[in-house]
Amino acid sequence: MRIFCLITILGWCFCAKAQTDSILSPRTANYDIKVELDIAQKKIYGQEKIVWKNPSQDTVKELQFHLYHNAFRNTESTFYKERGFASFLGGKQDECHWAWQEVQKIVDNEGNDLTKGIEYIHPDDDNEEDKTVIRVPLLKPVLPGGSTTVDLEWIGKIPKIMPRTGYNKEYYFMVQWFPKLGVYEPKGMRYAEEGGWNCHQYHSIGEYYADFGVYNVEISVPKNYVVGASGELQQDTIQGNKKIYSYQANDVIDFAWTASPHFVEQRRQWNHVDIRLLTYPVHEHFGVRYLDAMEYSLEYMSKHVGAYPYTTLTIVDTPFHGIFSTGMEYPTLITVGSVCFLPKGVKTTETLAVHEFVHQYFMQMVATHEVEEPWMDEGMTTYYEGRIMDHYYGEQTATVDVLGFKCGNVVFNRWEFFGSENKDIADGSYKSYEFKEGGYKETSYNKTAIALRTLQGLIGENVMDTLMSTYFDRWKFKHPSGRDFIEVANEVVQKHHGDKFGENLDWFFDQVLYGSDLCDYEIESVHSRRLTKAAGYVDNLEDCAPVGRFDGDKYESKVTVRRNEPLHFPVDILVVFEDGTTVQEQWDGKARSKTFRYIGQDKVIAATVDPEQKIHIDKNFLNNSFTVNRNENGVRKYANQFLLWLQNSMQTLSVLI
Amino acid sequence: MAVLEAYLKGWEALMKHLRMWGLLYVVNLLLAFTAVLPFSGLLGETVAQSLGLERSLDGFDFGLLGDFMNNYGQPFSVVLDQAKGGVLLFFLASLFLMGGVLQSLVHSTRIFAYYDFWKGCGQYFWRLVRLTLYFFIFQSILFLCCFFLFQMIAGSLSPFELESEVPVIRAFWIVVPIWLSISTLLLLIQDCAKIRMVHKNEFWLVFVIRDSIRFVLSNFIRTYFLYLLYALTFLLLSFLYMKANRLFQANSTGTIIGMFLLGQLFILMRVGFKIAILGGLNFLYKTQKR
Repeated sequence: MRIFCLITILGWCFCAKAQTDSILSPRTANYDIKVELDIAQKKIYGQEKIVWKNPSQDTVKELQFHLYHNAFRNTESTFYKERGFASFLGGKQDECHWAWQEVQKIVDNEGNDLTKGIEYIHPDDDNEEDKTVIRVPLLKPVLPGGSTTVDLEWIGKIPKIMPRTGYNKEYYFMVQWFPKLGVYEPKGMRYAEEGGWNCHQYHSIGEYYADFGVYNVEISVPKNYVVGASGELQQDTIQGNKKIYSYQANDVIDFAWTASPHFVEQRRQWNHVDIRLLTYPVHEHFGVRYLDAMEYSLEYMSKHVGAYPYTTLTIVDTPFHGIFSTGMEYPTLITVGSVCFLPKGVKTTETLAVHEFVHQYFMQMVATHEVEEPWMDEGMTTYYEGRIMDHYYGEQTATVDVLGFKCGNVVFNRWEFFGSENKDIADGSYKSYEFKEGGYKETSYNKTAIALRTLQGLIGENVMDTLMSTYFDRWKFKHPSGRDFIEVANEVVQKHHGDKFGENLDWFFDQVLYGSDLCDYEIESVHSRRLTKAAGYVDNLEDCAPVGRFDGDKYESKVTVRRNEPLHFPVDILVVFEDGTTVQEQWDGKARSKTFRYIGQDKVIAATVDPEQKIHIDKNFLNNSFTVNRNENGVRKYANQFLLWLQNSMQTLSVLI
Repeated sequence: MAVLEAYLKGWEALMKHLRMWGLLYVVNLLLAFTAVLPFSGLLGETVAQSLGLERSLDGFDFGLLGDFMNNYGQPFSVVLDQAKGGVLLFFLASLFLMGGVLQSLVHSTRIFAYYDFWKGCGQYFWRLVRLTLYFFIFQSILFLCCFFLFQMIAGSLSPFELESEVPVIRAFWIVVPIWLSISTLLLLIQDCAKIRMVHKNEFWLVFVIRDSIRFVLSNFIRTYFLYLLYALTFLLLSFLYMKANRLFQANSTGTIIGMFLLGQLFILMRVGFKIAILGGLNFLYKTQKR
């Protein structure tokens, strides 16, 4: 019995370790980093060993790195020029808020000093003052399939209250904090017509893109600081007045960490995942809300998309003075935020947590290019955010449920998009920094989610789940493009629906993703007229027949459906007759209008186009239906509410008299 | 006891002036209708024949609201502008009618006389305009002072300078009761000033305000508690109204009529409260002056 238990325990340990040790990605860029946090000088001192594997058939003669924090160096950076300000402190841009990142030394694995060859480049614009990208020529080029190792020493001045990163008071949130390699895209990968580095400058709008690898990071902080980071904690040791945390994160594209002496920890275990929540004491009571949201998200995504392979998930509830870092996603670490008086009926806390968690799938594991195709991660994440929130928190209450005011997530998302001014200003082909006139959030987040819901409506939820899980399974730990996603969609839909939607779905994606037009189907009219017998010389030229009625009622009814906007989709039309019978019609939705004609004893009394609201991208559901009998009660109800509101406003203002 | 007597006398005064009460309510209703009728017309033209409207009868439907605002927002904004105009017009009308209310309450006769009422409206209109303006300025100064106090207690309003949001919440709970208390006191002094102005037929409002402040301060407990009593009554009735409102859904002709009547009863009550408060204060003023 004892031997049996021992074998079982050993086997469990082996499986757990195997799960940790199994190689999930190509591990192209691997980092061993040692970093020391100097809270007095607000600097970090880093040493970094990078092992980079050439994934191409090219001989690579240089490396390109991101130095993201140089975006906060001065007012001449591309980031600052595009945004108009760098710090959230606005006009208070004095010396201490700026930041920089400087590579002091870079040496290859043969000891050759490559430092003098470092050159700042600006692949996106002609801004020579922007220092967010460097190229480092190699003395020994990397052959196809080969690898190179470089050692870097660098110093970083930590920014104060800059977008997504920096410090404020004793809170540090460190992202894009180390010199990070770009992605070498071989010919044929994504849109690369020839092999080359994909290493964009840091723009005001847009996020990141990097290769998968293993990160071994040692973080040295003052010993009273609590640290949260990507990956698994291997050990922590105290050396004098410092504490060194050693983390390992496998098969990830980035590494983020945070430190503060005020963090309070809460934990929960979900299957193999150790969920760790870090909050400040004043937000401890949000623990249950966050942890429940994470459990729901893990459960839902594992069931509908694919398994979450990592053993850790860290949630950082940023303090009030750290809101510049709220609402972001990094491998196995997300940042969320709240305010302590937020009522339970306002679910912004959960919404943000769920959204950032889903990013673990769409762009952490399926590592799309956040700058070149932001819709691929933001849109898919927003789509699943809606599904998870509405599933667990109610379709009518997932966003707000306070004092009778209710709103679900999907409904809110739709309202947000169609209520925006910039909904048709751009399309999914835009890179993030090309949204110069606005529209980034509307197009990348909201419109993509609505488009995916429309696709779900057309092909059905089961096929949609198959599509997304196939896409995830095929492209996890890789870098797909939009075209790759569409290819999967075409393949899966063809398999399940044949030619029902045509040869492929390119017509769909060209409209909703790569177009900026809108959609609006409407029941324009429902008319009925009593039919009479034919009058005049009908049977012969002698007998003149008068107008006469048929025995019993006979009516001709016409239902006209109209397409008001350019986008077109196949739609259903539900027609209701006087006697309660219904007829379901189908229309390809391409022409500007279509009229359906019925002859019978009963008139048509109502019609609805898209009765199941499958076409989520239809901007107006109100005109999708038409009933012959006016709904006077509806008008009276809302007129009454408006009247009451107005009367109360008048009385309230008259208090001043 | 004087407070309770004044409280009851206020309600008695309201009952004695039912026609005046009704007149004020009708003015409120008619001016509101100037915006509600076009709104009703807009609904009729846009969504009356949509099944979406029918579905929304069973409860709050954010989707319907969102679609309506996004697609018919422009014509609705015209209706809203009309509503704003209606509110402004009501404000001016209230200023005018307040003179008649004061005349009827202060120089009360057994029978409500329209002639005296309209005479009072015309006689005191400009003085009431000035008085309202002065107290609006006082309220604004109070608000600004409280805002600065709020900032001082919170330390800062920038989230980047605060350790947490707790100081902001603490400041809110300290400053808002102070603001409400002093604001109520100002409203009380304003009501007393109106009564005194009519009693003395005083033109110079500086003296009226000065004397009202003296009156309130020398009878602080009575006047403030009378005001609080009316405020508590109002809160209780509002609470009952809210509860009654949630008992049923307005999804049929009968329930919609019911909701309309309930709502109008609430408005009638709000209109009546103003008259009752002035009546009660008037009684207190008369008895304390002897």
